[in-house]
Amino acid sequence: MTALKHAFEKIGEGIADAFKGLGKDIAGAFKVIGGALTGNPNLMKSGAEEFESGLKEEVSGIAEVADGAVDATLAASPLGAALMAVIGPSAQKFIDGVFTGAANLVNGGISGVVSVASGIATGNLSEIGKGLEGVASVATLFVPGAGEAEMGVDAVEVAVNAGKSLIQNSAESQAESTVGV
Amino acid sequence: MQKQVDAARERRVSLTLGLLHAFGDDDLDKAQECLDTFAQENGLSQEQEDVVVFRVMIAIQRGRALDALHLMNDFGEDFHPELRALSLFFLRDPLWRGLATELAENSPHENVRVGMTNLLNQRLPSDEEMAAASAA
Repeated sequence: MTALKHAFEKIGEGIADAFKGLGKDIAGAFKVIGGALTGNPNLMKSGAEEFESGLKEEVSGIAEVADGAVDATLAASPLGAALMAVIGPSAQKFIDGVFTGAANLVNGGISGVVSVASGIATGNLSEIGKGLEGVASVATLFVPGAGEAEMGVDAVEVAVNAGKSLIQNSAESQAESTVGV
Repeated sequence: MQKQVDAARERRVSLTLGLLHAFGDDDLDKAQECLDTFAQENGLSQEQEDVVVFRVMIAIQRGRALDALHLMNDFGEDFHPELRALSLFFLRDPLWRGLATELAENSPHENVRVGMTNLLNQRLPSDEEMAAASAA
């Protein structure tokens, strides 16, 4: 298992190097990792705050870093073959929030839209808000790679505008039907 | 919305790197915990393909390659054949070599071709190594 440990350390070094190249500090990222591992909410919060310095979107290319790390250590680790073949790409998908065959996420998105429609139908504003949040969340998960934040916001805005449009259409048809009566 | 997007990504980065480092530390309970938390927070079922990839790796690393094969059975033969080859390798089933050779030569994915080529250069685990992995 020593070789695998070495491979993962290399991944960490690769990430650190990537950050250094950007002139940014990796410390916040590793504190967040520590928080995730220990379940220490204070540590997690501290790391997250340091992430606010602007390095958060830059942790990408994990799969490529993993591949490079494994090349050097595979001679001693059969598991390294799997690390290279599947774990790197799967880890990248996890970080990007783009999952293979994610029917459940698509369903989550549909649920969000349904909640919006349901909120419009019932006039329940909190339900509308809840629905939009669901759509936003799913839109976020499907946005790949670097620049996600900006693209995600675009997607969310599209979702929100779609919701507004639905509300407007609903209100217009309500008015028409009232006039009709 | 910007903060919401960033927070979601931060959390995914945190849990994914936590999972990877737990793997590296051979702390498989922690790896499982990170994976379960990630799946739960992102609305992914335990049967989602990328989640299964890590479940399979945890099973293999626990010395339970047969369980790993069972996890993949629901997905058919096309589901990550490289992981199937790896499971067969640790089970010392002779079928592993043919599958790994086929993938090393013909997989459309370069990472799989290279990974399987490297696997073909490994020696099979000994009885002692298999027993130690199962006991861990």
